[in-house]
Amino acid sequence: MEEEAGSDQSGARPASSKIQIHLLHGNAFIWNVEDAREIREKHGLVGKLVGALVRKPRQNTRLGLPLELLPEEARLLVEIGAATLVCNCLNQRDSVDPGDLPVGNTSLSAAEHEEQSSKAEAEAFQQFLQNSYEEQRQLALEEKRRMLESLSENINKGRSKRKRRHGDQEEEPMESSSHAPIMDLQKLEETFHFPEEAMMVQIPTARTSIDNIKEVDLCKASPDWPYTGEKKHELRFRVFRDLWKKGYYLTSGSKFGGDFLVYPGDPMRFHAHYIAICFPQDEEIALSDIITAGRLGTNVKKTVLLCSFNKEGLVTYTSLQWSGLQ
Amino acid sequence: MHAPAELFAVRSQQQSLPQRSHGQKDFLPDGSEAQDAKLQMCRTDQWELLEEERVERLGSLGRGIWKAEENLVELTLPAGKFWHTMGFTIEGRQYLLPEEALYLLECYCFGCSLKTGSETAINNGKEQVNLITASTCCPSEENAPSSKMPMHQSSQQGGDELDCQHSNSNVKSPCKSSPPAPKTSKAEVTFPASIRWDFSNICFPNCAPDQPQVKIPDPEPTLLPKNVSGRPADISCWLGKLNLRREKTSRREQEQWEWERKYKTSINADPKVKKCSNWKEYKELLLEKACQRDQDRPPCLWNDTVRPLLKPGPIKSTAAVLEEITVMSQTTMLEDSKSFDEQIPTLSTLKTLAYQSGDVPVVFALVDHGEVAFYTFKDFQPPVDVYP
Repeated sequence: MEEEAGSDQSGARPASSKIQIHLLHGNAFIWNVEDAREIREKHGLVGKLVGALVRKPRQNTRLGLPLELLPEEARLLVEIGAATLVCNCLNQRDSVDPGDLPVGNTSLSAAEHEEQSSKAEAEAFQQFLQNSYEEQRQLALEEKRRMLESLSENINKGRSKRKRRHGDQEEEPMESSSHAPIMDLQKLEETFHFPEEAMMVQIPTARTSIDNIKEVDLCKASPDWPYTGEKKHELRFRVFRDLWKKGYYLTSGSKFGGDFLVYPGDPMRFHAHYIAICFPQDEEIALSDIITAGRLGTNVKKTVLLCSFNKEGLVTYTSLQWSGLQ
Repeated sequence: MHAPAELFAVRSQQQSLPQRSHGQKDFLPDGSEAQDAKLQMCRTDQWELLEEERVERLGSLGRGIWKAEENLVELTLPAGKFWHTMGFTIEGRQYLLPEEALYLLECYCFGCSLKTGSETAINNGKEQVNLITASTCCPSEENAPSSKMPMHQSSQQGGDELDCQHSNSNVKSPCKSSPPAPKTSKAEVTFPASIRWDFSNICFPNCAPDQPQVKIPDPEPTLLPKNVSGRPADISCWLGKLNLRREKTSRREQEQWEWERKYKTSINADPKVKKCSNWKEYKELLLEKACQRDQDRPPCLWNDTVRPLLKPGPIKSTAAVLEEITVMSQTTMLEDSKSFDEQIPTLSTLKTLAYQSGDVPVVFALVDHGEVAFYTFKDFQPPVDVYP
């Protein structure tokens, strides 16, 4: 089901070796487990799982893919050359190829084309389901056969025992009954019922084709990446990058009233030591805010870091300690 | 995509979850092999969990069709138990709200009728969920507090009776749920003071926000002070600000009220006040009392530019003192409440919603890059009085 219109746009496609970060209205998602793994193990970035966990979907203490990245994490991955930002474009043919066809023509033929291809896709999917059903039925049949075979000895014993209890008047059929399980197995092919509902289906969470995504430019603010030029984002990013370069692991600090939680190692195995709060260098901080922050840090047994960067771009840290309580 | 054999194998897959962190977390990484091994175990477990694909028995998936123009999902094949807690019926058809359908899709109780694009569905939905988290705070019609009903009925009755019996004799002031007795009796003039009012027989207009036809009769001029001209009361703007929540009182507050009932005297209990038959007489009485008070006061204290904050007098409780000297007044933040249309509602909007929802608690969620935190308002009445 490849679209011929979009597939030859190799230039617009991101390099296949890079991780694709899927953007949606400013939120960055990773849908692929290998990518999530690389981001964590190779690049030391954590993100936050936000999907249902496959093995136990109806709980929310442990979650599964997709992995949502902080804007700072996404930007860092792009800047170190490990990833590209991409987003889905729904009218792919219009947006990928705007100059290829006259405008009036494009939308009409694109709509027709879309309808046709989705029809074809639906048919192919039905066919796929049918094949899958047949194969699964076969597998279920074999499983049942294996089970019956492994049990056949027991079944035979049980039958002969029952016969003996009923008395010896029916000596003759003894022999035939000892072969009965084998008979069952032979008939199994015709009698085996595998209801359609019992078939397993996959609910896909990733696309097989990549022709309807486009790359998003980090340097230009857009609905998918609204952070460019934001003063707050710039500040947070510099602090984030600096702490990351120092080897810390960082996660969102919003639950603790800060910008980041800073861990000395992978959060799976270590508690956070710091709550990082970013302040612009040139703005005054209300004393009450400092007190609030210090008090908060003490209550959760973490050190509050006030972070900002100076004119040379150097990030500076000030830690707060509540000296009244220990 | 999984091949049929892989799909089939999922049936016998491990169902339990591995341990989360393999023992207590460590304080600092020390580069030891033991720490490394533990981390590796955690990570291996994690990737193993995340690697699994979403596979479900076809029979346990419900099915629905996304109706874009109605912004709803119509259920075509119910399966599972979710219907107890979600969905609604219109003209015999079962519908799900987009966030409900999305939740079911995410927990794969639910098959999406889009054949290939379940990622799109989830993606699009994510965006909706972000928007919707706030709007779900609004209680839906079915959830409206049941306690509204009796109030509604009795008040309608009241309104009718009021029109035929008392329309020309009462000045009505909007009262909250507290007993309205003192205010009204002050205004009653035409009857001799000896008549005790039986408030169970006097009906007050229903000022509930769902009663737009409430008519409050114009004040009777003879009952008003001379310098006050009666004008029709427009309560429409006030109706929207009504606090529909039942006031919850702590034991301490109840004891306080108990005490007040016992020891505080109502202004109406004063026999001199009772003798007054109209506003003018009452005002004269007040003036007389004020004159008496002034005689006891040294002019150096009371007629200078700097004056005491409090006047000695009938103030007996700490609450009354606080009331007298208060600089800031308590607010319910309902003054300039707007309609709820912005993406991130303001605190005052949330507060308004919380009041309007009556007994249904409003829970609101803060969604920040995958972190979700839920909050709710806790009723708190600041203590204003001290036990004597």
